[in-house]
Amino acid sequence: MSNLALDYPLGRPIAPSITVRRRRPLPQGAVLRVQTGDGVSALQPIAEIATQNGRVPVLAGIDGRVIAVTPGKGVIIEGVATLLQGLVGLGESAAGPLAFLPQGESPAVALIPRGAILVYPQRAPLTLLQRAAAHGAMGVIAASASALELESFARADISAFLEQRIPLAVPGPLVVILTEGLGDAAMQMEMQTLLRRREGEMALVNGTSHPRQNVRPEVLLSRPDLAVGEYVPPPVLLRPGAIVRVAAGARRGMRGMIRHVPAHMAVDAAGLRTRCATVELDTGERVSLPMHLLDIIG
Amino acid sequence: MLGATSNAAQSLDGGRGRQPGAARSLLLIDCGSAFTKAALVGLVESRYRMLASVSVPTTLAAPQADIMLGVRNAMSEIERITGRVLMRAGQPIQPEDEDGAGVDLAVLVSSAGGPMRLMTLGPGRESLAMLLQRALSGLFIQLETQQLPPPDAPLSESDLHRLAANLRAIQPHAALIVGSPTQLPGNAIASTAQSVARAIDLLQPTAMDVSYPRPPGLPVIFTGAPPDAQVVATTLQGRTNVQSVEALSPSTLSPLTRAVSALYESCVLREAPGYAALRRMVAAPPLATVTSLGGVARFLAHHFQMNVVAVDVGANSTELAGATAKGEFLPALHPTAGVGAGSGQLARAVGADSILRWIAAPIDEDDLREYILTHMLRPRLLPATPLALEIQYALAREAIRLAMHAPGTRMAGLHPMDIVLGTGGVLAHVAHPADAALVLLDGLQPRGITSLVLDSAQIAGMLGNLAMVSPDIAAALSSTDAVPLLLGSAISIHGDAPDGQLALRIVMEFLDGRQEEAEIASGTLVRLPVAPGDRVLLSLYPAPNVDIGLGPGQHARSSEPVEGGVLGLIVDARGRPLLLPSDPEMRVQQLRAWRKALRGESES
Repeated sequence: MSNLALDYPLGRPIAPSITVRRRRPLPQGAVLRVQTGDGVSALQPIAEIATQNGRVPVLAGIDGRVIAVTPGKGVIIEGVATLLQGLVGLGESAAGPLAFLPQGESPAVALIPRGAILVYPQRAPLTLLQRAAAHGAMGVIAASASALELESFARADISAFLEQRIPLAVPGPLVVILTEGLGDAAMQMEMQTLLRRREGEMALVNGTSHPRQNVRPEVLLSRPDLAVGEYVPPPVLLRPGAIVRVAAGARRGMRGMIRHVPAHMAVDAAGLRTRCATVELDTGERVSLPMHLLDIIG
Repeated sequence: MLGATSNAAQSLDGGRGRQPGAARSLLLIDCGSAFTKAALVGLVESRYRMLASVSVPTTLAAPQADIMLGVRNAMSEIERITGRVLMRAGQPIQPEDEDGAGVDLAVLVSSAGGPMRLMTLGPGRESLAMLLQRALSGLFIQLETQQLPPPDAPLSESDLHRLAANLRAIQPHAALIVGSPTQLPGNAIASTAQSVARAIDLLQPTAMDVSYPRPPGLPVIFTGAPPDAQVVATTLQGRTNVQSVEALSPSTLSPLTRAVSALYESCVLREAPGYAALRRMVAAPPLATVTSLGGVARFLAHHFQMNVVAVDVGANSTELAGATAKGEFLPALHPTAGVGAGSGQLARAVGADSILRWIAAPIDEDDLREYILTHMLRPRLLPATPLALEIQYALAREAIRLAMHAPGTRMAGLHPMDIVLGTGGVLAHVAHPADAALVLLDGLQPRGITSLVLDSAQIAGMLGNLAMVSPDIAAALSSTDAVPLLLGSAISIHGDAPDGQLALRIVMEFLDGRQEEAEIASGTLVRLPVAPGDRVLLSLYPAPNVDIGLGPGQHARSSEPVEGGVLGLIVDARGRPLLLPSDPEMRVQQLRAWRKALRGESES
């Protein structure tokens, strides 16, 4: 593999400290401000692009080192960062400071800080996405969204985009990342807490989603997050001891630990005979859940 | 049988174990896009029988990007179920050793990695479209018809950028240039070849590619006149391999079929991480699942001298294989429409309303979109609620209908469908056997008398390739373990009888001398009590405007006894084409009534 190839730690981790290599794409005509080998900080412009409002800087987004520059295509930066993955996203690469809406304020009227990456730990209404794009936000990290509203915002059939059949152009440069997916789900508490702790810091977000290759949208924060503890890749098999989160159904979003994997199959809530695991949820409840519903998170 | 030859059988074993015919044990593997199925076959009282079958997630994407991981997981699961050792230190044991550990042979079919995306070009693409369709029907390919600008067209940098983006979105595995049977005047072929050369250059991976660039090169097949073949070969020399086959004509379709079929392994399967290890394990070149399923349909049609339709609704693709008693093969597939990751393509093709009409619950388009996108984002997710299961069944019905009416297929005209064999995850894993019967009846809408059979072990799709290695073992399994569950025989009528009026009177003569009679109202779906194993002779008396396959009002008597299944004898008096009430409330009531009737539940 080329040493320029990009690396994507997969499996939807929350990795407090991980070395990543990322491309910051640049449009035709961008004027480069860095060269290979340069050290860069997240806030540093790596290029300038001409717009109707004059020259606009393109920020590095993460601290690191420039390892490749291709005029007209982009700059590849390698650095150490905190990484969070979502389930699905729109848009490519964008950088900006993390910002939360004021507590209790409606997304229909709240002030949208220009250039920010907005964090909205619930289901994002269409109004929020539209206002974020209109007010010059760089990104929205939300827990979930209605499928139709997301498609309405993107003005595209997202299924075709997920199949990589069509390139997706979102309004403006806005990147959207849904951490839990479609429908109505709240952001997992661990991720919410981490983002809240890093409010105001520069984030590099990328909405690229290739589910067939398990490439997920991501948020990168330059300073390793020591409060979360050392990153240990989760196990790949659903076995007793694995920490899991329920991906769908009535207990969607709940967390727990697998206590037992019975040898026999059982009839699940849908009426299908499937392999199930006995999971002790964080609430203390012990339930039998189909294994296809369980995401391993630790 | 199934087109296999003894030469093939002898040459494909790779010298690793016993001759296929003498194998004591076999492992059948089907690597699907979402799930890997495996079945262990062994000798039981001197007969080949399936000993266990399992289904585990396919492992193609990180963090488990090794197709062999899924296969090993499947083998572990079989070890757990049977107590038989199949691996040592994680390595498959082949051939079976003296202690009975391992297997003598392994056979692989696959739809993992999706269909081969074949970009078609050339001056003959439109003029020979019908022949092209016939030559390629039944192969696991997706035809891409990207227009390439002529080589002398002035292209700006942004034009080239756009063209490259389009080509990368298509990600073609190979290109097919269709020429003409006679050498073409002018430079049409040279121009096409030069356009392909530019496409190959544009598809070269760069260091900036975000992920998983395709290996360089785009294999090209040319069909046309030999002088034109020379032009193509010369133009593309140094860029890619060009294979030339005979020009297309009604009598020379098979060279192109074989050439394209042979590319499937090299272009699609070899891209799967870990494939080399899997390939070393199997006795014969792998087949695409649809190709293998076609072999089974042909065998059953030949064996029973009946028309057979095998149906496999998968996560990514939908495959129907029809074969007639006369030896005709009628494949019908949609390579990218299914009920999982392929549900987006399916919804785009048929529209949300077509899917929603089958759901007997209050649900709107947003719920459907959420289901579809969630299952694209999580390809291994199965329905988690009764409503989600109902959406999956609705998708399956429309996937069958879409494949059946795909351009160039003749499946829709196949009457009667004497045997319908359902296989694949959606049909094999149902909450109730009636659900599978309803999906098949609604999707295929057969006419006349049809035996509905379910391959709950999901091995039918593997037997076509097994037949290439060992026809006798495949034949033994085709008539036993691949058809383990007879849902029931279904009598389907069509005609103009108004709903609620008498459509059909049936007299059933049981072989023990009993005689029973039933009157069936138009618009209903009815189960008559004929237990599994019981056989009845049927006399059918349709109403004047009702047809049971012999013409309106023509009565019939079965020449052979009809066997009962787990659903008894099904009478589908809903008419053809099956029309659903336009009023939403009535439609929901009607769907619920049909489901209850077939499930044998009371109306209360």
